[in-house]
Amino acid sequence: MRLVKKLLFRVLFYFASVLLGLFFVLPLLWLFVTPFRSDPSLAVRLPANPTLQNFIKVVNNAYAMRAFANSAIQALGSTFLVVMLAALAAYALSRVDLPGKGIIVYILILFSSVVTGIAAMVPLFFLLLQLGLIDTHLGIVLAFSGGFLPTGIFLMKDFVDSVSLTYEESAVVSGASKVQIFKDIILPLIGPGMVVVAVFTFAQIWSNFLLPFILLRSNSKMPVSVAIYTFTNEIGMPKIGLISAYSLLYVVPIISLYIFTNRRYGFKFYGGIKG
Amino acid sequence: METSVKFEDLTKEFEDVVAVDHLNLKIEKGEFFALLGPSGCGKTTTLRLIAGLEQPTEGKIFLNNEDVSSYPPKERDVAMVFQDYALYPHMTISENIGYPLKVRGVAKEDRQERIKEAAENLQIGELLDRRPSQLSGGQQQRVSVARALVHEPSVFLFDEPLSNLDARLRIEARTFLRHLQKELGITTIYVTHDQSEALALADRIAIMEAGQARQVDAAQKVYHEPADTFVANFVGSPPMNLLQCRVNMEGETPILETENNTISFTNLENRLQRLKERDELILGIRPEDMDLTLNVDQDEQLTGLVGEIYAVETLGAQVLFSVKIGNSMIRVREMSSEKVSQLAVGDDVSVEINEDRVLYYDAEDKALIN
Amino acid sequence: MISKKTAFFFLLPALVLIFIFLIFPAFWTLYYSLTDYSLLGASTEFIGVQNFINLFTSARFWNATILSFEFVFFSAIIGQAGVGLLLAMLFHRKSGWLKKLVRNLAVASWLIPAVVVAYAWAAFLDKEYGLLNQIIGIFGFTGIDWLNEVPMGSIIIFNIWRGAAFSMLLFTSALKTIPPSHFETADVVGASLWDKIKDIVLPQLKTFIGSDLALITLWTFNLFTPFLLTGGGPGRQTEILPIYTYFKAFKYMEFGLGAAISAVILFINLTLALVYLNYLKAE
Repeated sequence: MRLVKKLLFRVLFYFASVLLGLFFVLPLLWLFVTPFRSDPSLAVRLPANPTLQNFIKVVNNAYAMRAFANSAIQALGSTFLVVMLAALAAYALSRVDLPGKGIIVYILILFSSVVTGIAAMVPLFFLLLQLGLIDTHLGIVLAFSGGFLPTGIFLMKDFVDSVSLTYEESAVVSGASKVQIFKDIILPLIGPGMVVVAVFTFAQIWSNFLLPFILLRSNSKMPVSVAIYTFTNEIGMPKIGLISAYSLLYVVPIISLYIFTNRRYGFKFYGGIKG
Repeated sequence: METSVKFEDLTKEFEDVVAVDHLNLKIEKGEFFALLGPSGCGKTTTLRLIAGLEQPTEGKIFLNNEDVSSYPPKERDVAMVFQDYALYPHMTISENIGYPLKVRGVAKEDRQERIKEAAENLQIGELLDRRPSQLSGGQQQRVSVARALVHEPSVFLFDEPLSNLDARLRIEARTFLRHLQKELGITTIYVTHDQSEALALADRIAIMEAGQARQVDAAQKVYHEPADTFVANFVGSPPMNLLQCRVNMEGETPILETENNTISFTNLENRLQRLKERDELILGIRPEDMDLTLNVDQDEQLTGLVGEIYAVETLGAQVLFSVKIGNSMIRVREMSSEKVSQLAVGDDVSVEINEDRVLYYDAEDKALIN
Repeated sequence: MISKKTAFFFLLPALVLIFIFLIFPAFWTLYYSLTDYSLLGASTEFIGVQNFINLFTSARFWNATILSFEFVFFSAIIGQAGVGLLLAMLFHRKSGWLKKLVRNLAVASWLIPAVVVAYAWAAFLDKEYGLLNQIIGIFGFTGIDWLNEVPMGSIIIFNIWRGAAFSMLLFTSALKTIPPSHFETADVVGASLWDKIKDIVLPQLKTFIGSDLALITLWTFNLFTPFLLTGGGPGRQTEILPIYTYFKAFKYMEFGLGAAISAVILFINLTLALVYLNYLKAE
């Protein structure tokens, strides 16, 4: 009886796992086969004559490549700003007993979850218009930074909190100057935390569609997320080969970052990280 | 090179607590000095004040008669070993030990030489290329000591450096520290909450409570003549027995009445006069200063302290008896022997006190009556 | 190591950015929602709660609201949380390639940029060539035009697929907080699987489930991605609140009304966030 039950559970386990696995993999198959087909279509077919022709088309498409550069500028710019400012703020919040510190952190978390792109898109648009930042990289970078800083600070503060203060104190007693402590002790110790925040911020901004869709106008500034969408509209009929190859290239940084973080730190999980 | 440390009315207040309260102390050159007390007594804050990690609210700190109260840590030339060792995880052992030299701008070759010397002093010479995470707790502890002594500081500060080690290693490390300190002769201030550690290591001990020193004396004296009941209770394991008594005078002989017994001493030496002035006092008796006698004859009325054995604990060469007398518990330590092995839980026993070793404390201010 | 003054300067740049680009816009939304600001109107006037009155008497708004609630309930609360919990429990205290594979696939679905998964799903659901209809064909059924015939169902399934990984990850780490001895004790007394779920897993995961539901509700409620699949259509069949807001504000340029919808969304978000923070405190 026990054995039968155990066997039944095993069968059930494999059945459920395979079913769920199929649920997650089937919609993605198209993305990974189509770019290599010489006759790309909406159907999932293994490429009969695998080709890189679609990728060559992407590389030769100036608009597509320009969008890649735009995505990189916007995502890297915002990430840099978020990581630097979040590290400074988190260090202050973690190490110094500031009055009202608990309230600051609370308000940051509250607003970062309440004020979503959807809820703030109208004023954000006019704010950038007033500041003369509409349709600029800087405008996008600032808007993203404002949105992602609270989460960045929150993650970073958690990290700084976990680094014992005695490292710094020990260095102080050893006779190190402030600059030496920062360079030799603090930076190496909180570096991994900054990498995690950077990866997290970069991945989200790289993927974001709504903000550039609303805050940018000229084609020359559009990131991939918007450019890829306009490929269909421009031509009427979507260029499937181009789009699929472009999509795959667009996904590569995200997947690589995931693998990198997974290998290096283990995909540590933070509650409330996706905005 | 040798340095003395002196506090004058040293006070540190945090928002709503006074951590250190007008502390006056002088620590001699080359002395191994322990700050002993329960958590929150201000001992660690005192240490951090010496290091310059905290600024005193009031009072002064002198190193060799030089007021260093306002000096930054860098200019005090002290070294500190932290409870969690604070070894930098991203540096090798060699880099860790050499860090105080590096920030002082010591040239590389010179640095290597001194790192090696310090490491050999602590018998960790073969670990220099490893990282802290690859070391055992005992090895990490030694590295942290090596890092502290590498630049030959004038004062060594230890903040509970042995509390993260297991019992066996702790004793080993303790012996080693004591030996090292005597060899180097560097003035050492050692914070601990473990009284046995303080007794074993220190030349003198300050027992602290609520930011003040209750007693500052040599280890021997602290143990044998605790200045008040707080110290008596804190030092020694198991702690001293404290018995509340009423004093009744029968002529010139004081009779001490405990909860349900009477004790009369034949020889009160010169204390008699002072006892007379009091209605109440507290007797302090170390567990080893008492003896148990089995109450064989149930009919015979025994005098002195009579009670029932509550528990018997074997401590190796000695045996610890807990004797229930009325509502209080008396602890008696006996050498293992034939006689002792006959005593068992539930036995009625009488407790004999070694009169010469009894200490008398005032019932009001809890201070030792001399 | 740093003084309060230095700490303040460390904090300042971040706070300034957050204030200008996050906190201020929230209050500006509230202000706009009380005006008749639009690209057509010559001047902007304060009109009180008129926008809200217009909104609450508009059938299109209620259509969007009801669709939004349906979307949240079925795709997040039932779908993502359910599938996430199932995945977490299925693989709890298990190891092996199957677990790794399925978990990584779920995480990939969650991490790949929205625009890309929207394309992949459009292909997957295509009537003529889509993989789904081909598979259905094998079993002898005729495929349908999913995005046009069951648009709500499609975006709901899409969003379950898209977001289940978050709940899975959260529940996986939550399950790890339950000491193995609890399960072992249950095994010793012969508890069934259902007993274990009912008596050990659910009570101990209560706060985790609470914060998971609050978060995925919040995110799903504000999700614009379905726009990439259906554009709100056909007709208004998938015009959930975020898409409706976008249309009002940026297609018809009725900014005042758009801001009023945003204000309603802000209010609902605030409620959800407070629920979440409450759970966070409880943990």
